[in-house]
Amino acid sequence: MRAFLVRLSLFALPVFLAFVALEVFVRTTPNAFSGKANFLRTHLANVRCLVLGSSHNQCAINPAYLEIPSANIAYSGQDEKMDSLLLASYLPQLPQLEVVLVECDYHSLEEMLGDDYFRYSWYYHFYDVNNGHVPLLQKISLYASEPQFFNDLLKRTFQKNTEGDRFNEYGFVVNDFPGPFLDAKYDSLALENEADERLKLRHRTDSAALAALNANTIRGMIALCESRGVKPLLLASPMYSSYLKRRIPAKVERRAAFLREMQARGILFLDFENDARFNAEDFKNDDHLNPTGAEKFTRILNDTLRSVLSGS
Amino acid sequence: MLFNTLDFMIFLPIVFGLYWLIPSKHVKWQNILLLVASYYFYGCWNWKFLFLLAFSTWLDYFTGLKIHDSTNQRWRKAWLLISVCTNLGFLGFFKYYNFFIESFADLLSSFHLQVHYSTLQIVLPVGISFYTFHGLSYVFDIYNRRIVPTRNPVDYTLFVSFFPLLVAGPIERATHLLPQVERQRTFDYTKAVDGLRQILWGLFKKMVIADGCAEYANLIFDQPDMYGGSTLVIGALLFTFQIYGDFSGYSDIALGTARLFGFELLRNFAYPYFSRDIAEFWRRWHISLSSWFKDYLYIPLGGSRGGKWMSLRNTFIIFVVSGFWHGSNWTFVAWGALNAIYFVPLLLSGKNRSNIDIVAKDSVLPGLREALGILVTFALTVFAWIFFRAEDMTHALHYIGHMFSTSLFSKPQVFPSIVFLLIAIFVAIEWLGRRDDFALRSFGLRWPRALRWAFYYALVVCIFVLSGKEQEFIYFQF
Repeated sequence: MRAFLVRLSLFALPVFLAFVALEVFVRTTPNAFSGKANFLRTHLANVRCLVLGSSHNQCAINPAYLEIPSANIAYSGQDEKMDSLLLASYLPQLPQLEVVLVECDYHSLEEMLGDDYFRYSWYYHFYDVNNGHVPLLQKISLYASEPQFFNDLLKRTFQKNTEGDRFNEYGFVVNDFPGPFLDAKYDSLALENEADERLKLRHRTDSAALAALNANTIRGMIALCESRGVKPLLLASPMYSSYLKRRIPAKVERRAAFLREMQARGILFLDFENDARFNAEDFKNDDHLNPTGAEKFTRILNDTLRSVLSGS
Repeated sequence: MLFNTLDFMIFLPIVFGLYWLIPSKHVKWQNILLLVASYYFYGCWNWKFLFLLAFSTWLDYFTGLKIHDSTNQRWRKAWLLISVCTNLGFLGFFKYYNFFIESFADLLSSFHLQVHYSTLQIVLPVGISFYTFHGLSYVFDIYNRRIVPTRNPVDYTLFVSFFPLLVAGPIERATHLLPQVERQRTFDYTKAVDGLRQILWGLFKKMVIADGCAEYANLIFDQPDMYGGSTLVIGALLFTFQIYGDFSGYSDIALGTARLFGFELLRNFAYPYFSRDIAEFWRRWHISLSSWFKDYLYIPLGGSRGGKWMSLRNTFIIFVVSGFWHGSNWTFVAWGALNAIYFVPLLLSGKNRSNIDIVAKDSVLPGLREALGILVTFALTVFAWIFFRAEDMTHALHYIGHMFSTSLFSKPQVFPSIVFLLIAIFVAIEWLGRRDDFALRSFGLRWPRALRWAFYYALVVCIFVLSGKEQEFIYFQF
């Protein structure tokens, strides 16, 4: 037994050390997620605008083009529940905060992550936010949350000819152009022709129950903001016409009903969903802007925020 | 909990350490520890189904005792029927309820009779097909007076739920495993090292070969219309290696893990893709299931005792039932039937046992005749796997129709060269190790230790770096 343990330990030691090195690598190698978290945590004292939401807001708002210090912590797959946890955790730490942009677009009201979502541990490690669903192993090891993702990151780091994400100091990915729109060379006719196939599974959740739960979460976020004297704004970023045409009517109506309720309460809804100023060249896919579109949109949003905050 | 996760890599050393730390290697406490660990292992998937597992175990334990203790043959039969009906009832409900309802409605609608029916959202308990068969073999063996039932409930429960084999086999027999559960086990260095090697090889098969192939096989099978015939052949080929890497990889990890605790489980795979005919293939693929069907279905049906026609009928029955065991879909039935059709010429010509020995036993390479046999058998198997992988019969027939089109001879649109290179290395190592029960048993043992360890490290690096997107083990759904 002793010989077995000694030899096994000798064999396993390099593997263990390699694993530790891997863990250090994934924790210290910057990526868009950690970039956003680091920016927020190092600028707590002066952030005046906080952007929440999913990949829609993530891709739509580049804080570099907002004149007030802003942090965009929206991220792919982030649901209203996680938004509310982040808000509850960071609101007390943001003394200069004036406005919070809460995503309220067509899909976000009816999406909810499962208890086993792999990225919960990322929030735990980078934002220090624990939603109670982070397994022990993933509390110890970030790598364990999604080995495949980090393996890819590792490969990209060491393969000279593949370009990974490039992001600015706010964690906004500035080279996020690849997608079906670039593949189709932004040809609107071709994009429309293939839209049915492309969108047949996109955001098809149709659940009044989820809408009610998420609406409640948003109400909670609004109440939290108001209790701290922070202005909550609901936001829907631009979507391409192919996506808008294929929405589920009942789902659109449920959101409209919620927005009517918000309007009655005096909550502003910044609706850019069907904004004619955006065309195919501004998108990477049907429901996400590319960095060019994000620059255009953020500049428009900047003007809107200026007037909202000045009370005009 | 999956074998290919870091959770298992932490779970296993903890259980291993506690197990061998038990003073005097006391078998009772070792078994209790393994039982708790096994229930924890299963409960990590869904703790609610532990009750079903426990009930099924208790039922077979209890009926086993009753069958043995009854002197009246009628009562013996009645207890056997209670066990069989309850076990198959659970299996039928969880696995086949929706299938039968839908198939019945389809049948009626073909006679223009419209019926309103509703299916249920049923969660299939992981491993139910495997632990049901464990339990059934136990009561059958008691009924046939092959074994005497154990009176120790811990031993029996561990026999059914031992974590390495609980969710995807091998399907053990009480005659083989129960004596190992009952007797004193001491640590054996050689066995433990073999176990580790087998686990390493299993992980390589699963995470590098199977998961690597799965990415492309899924891509091609999901949208066969988008690809030409040659690409569909590539898809079928990749699935062929995916399912082998996946299931035999799982079995290797299971056998290796059991060895660490001093157990020898039944061998499940014996290099099936080196088979020279389909009969040999079925002696080498999922051996524990094939032998289960042989012992508890084929032989009770009369086996080959009633002449060629009886043998033919029984062969068809076990292939079709075996197909159906895999899942509630006509594709599995078709897959089983197709294999039966492959088998018939060998059976009729009496050549179904002509390739018993290891291929190219005394040489490095196979002879021309053997190589041809291997190629033909492999091609037949690749074709049959299309049914196994397809979503339904329409998908399977569509895939095959599209495959055998003029585009069969075009340049493939998908050709993952790195995956094929890894497959080539994998097949070469399996070929070199074909005389052993798993490929790494003696592979590299004569090399200097530094070189051998470098090879093992290379496998570890491959597992970390080259593994494809994590896929659940295919056989978990059965």
